[in-house]
Amino acid sequence: MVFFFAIPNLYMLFISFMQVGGYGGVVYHVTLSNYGLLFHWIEFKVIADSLLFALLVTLFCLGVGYPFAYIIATAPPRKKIVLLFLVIVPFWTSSLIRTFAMMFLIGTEGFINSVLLSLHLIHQPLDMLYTLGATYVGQFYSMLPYMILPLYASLQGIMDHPEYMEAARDLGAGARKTFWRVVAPLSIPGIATGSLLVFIPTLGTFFIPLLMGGGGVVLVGNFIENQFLAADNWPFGAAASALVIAITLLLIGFGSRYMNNAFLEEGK
Amino acid sequence: MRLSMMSAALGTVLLATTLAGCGTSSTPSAAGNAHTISPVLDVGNFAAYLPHEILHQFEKKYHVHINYSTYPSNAELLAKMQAGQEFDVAVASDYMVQTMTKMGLLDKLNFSDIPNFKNIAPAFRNLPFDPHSVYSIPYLWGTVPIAVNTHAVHVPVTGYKSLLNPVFKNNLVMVDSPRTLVGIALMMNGHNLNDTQTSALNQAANTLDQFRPQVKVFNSNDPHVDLLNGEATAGIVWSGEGALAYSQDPWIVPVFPKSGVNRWFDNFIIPSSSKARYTAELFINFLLTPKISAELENAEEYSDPDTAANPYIQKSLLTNPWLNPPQWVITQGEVMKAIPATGNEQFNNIWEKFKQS
Amino acid sequence: MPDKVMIGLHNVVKNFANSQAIREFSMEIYQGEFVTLLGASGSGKTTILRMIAGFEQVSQGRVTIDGVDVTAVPANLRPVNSVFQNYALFPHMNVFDNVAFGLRIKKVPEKEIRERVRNALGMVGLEDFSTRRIRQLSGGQQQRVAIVRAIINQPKVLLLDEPLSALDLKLRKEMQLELKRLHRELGITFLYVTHDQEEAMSMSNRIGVLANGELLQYASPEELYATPVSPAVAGFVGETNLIDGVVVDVTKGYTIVQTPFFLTKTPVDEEHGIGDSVVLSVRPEAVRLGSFGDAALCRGIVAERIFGGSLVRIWVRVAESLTIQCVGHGFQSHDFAIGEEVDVLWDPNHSLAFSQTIKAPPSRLPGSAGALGSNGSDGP
Repeated sequence: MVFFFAIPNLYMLFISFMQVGGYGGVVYHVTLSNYGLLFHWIEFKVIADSLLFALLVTLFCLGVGYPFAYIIATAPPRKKIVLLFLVIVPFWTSSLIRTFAMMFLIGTEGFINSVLLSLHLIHQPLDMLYTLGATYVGQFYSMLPYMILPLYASLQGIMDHPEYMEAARDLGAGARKTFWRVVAPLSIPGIATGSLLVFIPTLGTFFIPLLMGGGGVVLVGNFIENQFLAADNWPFGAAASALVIAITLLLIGFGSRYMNNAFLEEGK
Repeated sequence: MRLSMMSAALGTVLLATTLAGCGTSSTPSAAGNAHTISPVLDVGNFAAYLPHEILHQFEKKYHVHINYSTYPSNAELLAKMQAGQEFDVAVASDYMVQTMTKMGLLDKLNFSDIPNFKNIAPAFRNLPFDPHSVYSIPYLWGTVPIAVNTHAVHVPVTGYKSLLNPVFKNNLVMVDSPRTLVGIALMMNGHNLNDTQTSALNQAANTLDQFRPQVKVFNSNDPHVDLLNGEATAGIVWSGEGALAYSQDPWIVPVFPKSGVNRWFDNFIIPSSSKARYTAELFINFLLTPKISAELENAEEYSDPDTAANPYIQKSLLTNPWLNPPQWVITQGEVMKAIPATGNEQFNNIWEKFKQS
Repeated sequence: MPDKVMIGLHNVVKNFANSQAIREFSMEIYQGEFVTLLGASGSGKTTILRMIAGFEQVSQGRVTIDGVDVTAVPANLRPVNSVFQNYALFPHMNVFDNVAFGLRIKKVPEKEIRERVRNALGMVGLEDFSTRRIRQLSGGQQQRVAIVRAIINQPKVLLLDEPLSALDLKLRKEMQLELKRLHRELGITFLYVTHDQEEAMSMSNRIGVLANGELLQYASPEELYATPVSPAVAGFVGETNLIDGVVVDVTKGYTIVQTPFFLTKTPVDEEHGIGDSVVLSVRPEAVRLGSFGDAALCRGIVAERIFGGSLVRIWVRVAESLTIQCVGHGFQSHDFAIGEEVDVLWDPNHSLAFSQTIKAPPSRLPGSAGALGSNGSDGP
């Protein structure tokens, strides 16, 4: 594990301090300039856009995933199995294939436009595919289960110990206050885990902006891919990767403080 | 997710360096000079670019085992070679042939072992990136013309500027390639597509910017899908992709603007680290035999520089306007040459800015 | 004791999915009382408590608190507070925030909250623990916080659901005293649920004994002990020897009972007819061992003897189907060795006879399964 994880990343870190050759390739001269380049306007904007994108996708997933996870956790057993099944089903298909399916749905001559046109609700096909909005929808859709499952696990743990909610009710809290003051704070490990599981892959995503955004949406994942595959500038791509990994590690370090589930164990 | 894939790829390269470390230090062509057939041949090529059936035929004929490995881009081929991975024979694009030549990574070809070179039409010899046909032989070639869905578009399209017509607003598909598109902008202004002068590039950037509102999607992988699905009614795409679209919808036709068309070549090369030069040359020669070359062309649907193969090529391909451009394109289409990394960076910056604006 | 009814349960029925947990249950608890619901697990005592707290809806009947019908009032609006079996302290809050929870819900000014929380924590000696996390507290400390968190809201009734069951014996004794003190000082009505008869006896004004969702007897500890209404209650409240017999005569205030082993008499406290099957109940401490000659009721062999410090327990085997348990002070009973033959005798006035057709289980030796009155068999 350590070998296969550490070696490639260390190599990438090493490359990020090298120079690009006169005609591409890597020249083994130490330099910091690759990192300096990251603070140029275009690169900085790509990174800022990516962070904003990841943040908003995470918030959308949280906003939709939380009520859904709550419904699953409080559902009667049989219904719960059906709902969990619905959340897990997408894992059986590659996200690439699901993205293509979505492209088919929202394309100019796709399913949604065809239905709307045939119902005469619209007269011109709607421009949905290859927009920023489509990129958000695509990423949101592919990440939602990663938010729901940890939230569900966390909320189920709380539902399995109804005494916390009963204690709040007993002390005068109505349903809303019980939720905000007890259930929500107790579910923070689920929120933290789910948010990291959504934020980190979203920050590095490249194929959804490429496929759903039509390549006009450039996020740091696309930027890195481009540096490696099109621009022949591996050191610069490696430096950008190193920055993304640094942000990721920082987030994991910060998030892991909220991820332990000791909350529910000690009451026993 | 992409990051880990990337680092895994890098890791492979590193491992290759370590494992192949001693191999590179041995004398490169000790056994290669003799006219003996090596039992093993390391072949490199772009992914999904050669039917395996052809490899099997060669293996059978010469009793050679082929180690076939692929790479997604020229950059990765270069990196692999720099890291010490050995290819006895590989395929590289035009400008990369020149880059590798400048870096001393290629061996001169021994044309006496490749008699089928005679099948390569004169128009595809002595190309700008290898002016005396010393290091490379064309494998397949193509162009990057304008694509128009003449069923959906009823305005005349004669050149790149025609695409600025408001009917194409948010309606174009473009390949996601800085060298190609910035190169077209250079040609529109009367410059060479390899021009790296700052003034020419600045002008090209301004020209390019006018096109931004017209572009709906950047797609290098399967732009024919966008043309067929109605996402785009026109665009600038690889000729092979256009040919694919044409075969399903003959209303989608190419336009070759007089201001300049990019003509590209993928080429056989023999890296100087090759330990089976003679076998590699046999392999190139084998692929240039008309029947085999036609088999390749029929499978990959690009244009074949091996004109002797024509009798064996499917008729639909020989009549496809995308694969058979007018003669002036064949002789005058502009070819990419190696440009310095600084120039490459300028192309990239222009392109990144363009996409994000 | 003022006789204002604080809690009233009127013909309460509770049905669960496929069983009836509580049937036609009625009970009244007066203001300021310390009442315990005593019963084995599954007897319905916790369900009663939860219906008063509002965590369970009653299926039929009414619940009143301080004269107000609260049957349809949600839990958060009832003037009662609970101490949970596992404390249910909020793990994401420190001690102060836990205790202040109820006051904050009521929007009491923060300054007043600080003062009241400090005072309340002071009552249980935890004034220096307000910033501690819950997991940093011992079990006893958590128990105190749980009690303080409930009483700071000045409920009309404090509901306690087996609050001491998680504590070790020594701590349990301490907390029993502490709860009695708090009850005395606060004057709040306490309704306490436990399966521990000793705990119930030592703390309560009145005890309600439950079995199968029914109230068997509701009386003071002394009354329950002296005059249980059934062998079940007798077995629940302290230990007892149960001996089957038949009424052969009724005379001069006594019922004469013939058992398979001896003839004895017992005071009349209910009407038995001649020929009725009865169960005699004799508390172990009423049984005397020694040499009594003709006065002896029966003879037996000392089968087991357990020295318990202030008290010694002896089991005397009279016959295969009858073993009599006896408890005495050490100095009185230390003579009897295992295997020794002894006479058994008790004062008829300390025995009871229950009309009973159901055969009561025989008294068994310690260590064997299903010892009668198992709730008390590990008591002092």
